[in-house]
Amino acid sequence: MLASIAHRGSGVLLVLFLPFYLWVLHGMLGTPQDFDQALALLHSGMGRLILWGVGVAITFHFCNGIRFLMLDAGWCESQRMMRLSARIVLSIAVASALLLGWLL
Amino acid sequence: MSNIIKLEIYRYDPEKDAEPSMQAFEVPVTKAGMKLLDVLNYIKWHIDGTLTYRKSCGEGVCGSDGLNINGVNGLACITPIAGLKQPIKVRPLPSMNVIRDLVVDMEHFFDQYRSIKPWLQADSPLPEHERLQSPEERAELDGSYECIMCGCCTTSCPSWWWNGDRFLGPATLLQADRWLKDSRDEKIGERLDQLEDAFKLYRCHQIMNCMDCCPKELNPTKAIDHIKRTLLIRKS
Repeated sequence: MLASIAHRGSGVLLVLFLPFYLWVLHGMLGTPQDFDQALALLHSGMGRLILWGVGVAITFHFCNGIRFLMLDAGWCESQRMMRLSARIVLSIAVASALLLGWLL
Repeated sequence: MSNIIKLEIYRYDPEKDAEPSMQAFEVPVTKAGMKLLDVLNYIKWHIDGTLTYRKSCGEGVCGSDGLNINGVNGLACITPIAGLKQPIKVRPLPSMNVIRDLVVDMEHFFDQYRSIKPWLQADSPLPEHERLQSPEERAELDGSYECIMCGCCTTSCPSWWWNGDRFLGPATLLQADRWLKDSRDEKIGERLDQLEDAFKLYRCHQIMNCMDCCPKELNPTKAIDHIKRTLLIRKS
């Protein structure tokens, strides 16, 4: 249940971040002023928080997506494996949150 | 464990009450290993005879007393009081129309069950004695024939809450898979035709509440995935 809700939540979050990605892309490809502006934001507290959120969301969504594909393919279908795989994916997300928090 | 069991029970009589309410009860521990159904019976027999709920076998076989217990669906008759956080909040199965108190209208649920034709369909001539199965073919049905149609899984499924009018829900789909796996059934094609629908089958998004709450520890998610794969194999 938690892994499933988190999958929808992280998916929505990744879509909502799309305008931000485009803005950063514009900054990277635009004038030197645009570049400096994008770089300044990415190094600010808010920029780091956004990068952290996107990083955690993409890690979780990617890992849980693979888990769902495995279930679709008929692997790890026992109740024990379904629960265990959810715990593993959630643990990876927590680990990535800590690692990204430390790196950023 | 204290000698008093505290509960809050959903009460609603559509003929009298404007809206539902939670009523608090305190019940003494009368024996070791009490189940929730024992407590409901005590209330009905000694405290408030108007409390309404379904029950029959009292041992997890008939599937009558599916309830929402502290937020999780389960059968009252096999849910031990020990281990439940008190006050125990007892509500009817979620997303169902309440007839009275803990009794819900199961009509739509059983209509959906009927829609998959849950019986053996075979056109070949009946053998002299019976249609035989090998032990291996019979073993294919393990994990699905045990379903008692209590409705705990279906009423815990968010996809069914939202699209219950068209999505068949985990209990019905588990049974649909049971008939697809039955070596004696000869209508697999028709059964698959009927299931191949964006709503009937594909509203399952693997939330897995069904597997988590099933009182018989069955796995409807696995059965639904098996139906999807069977359809895919048929196409390819």
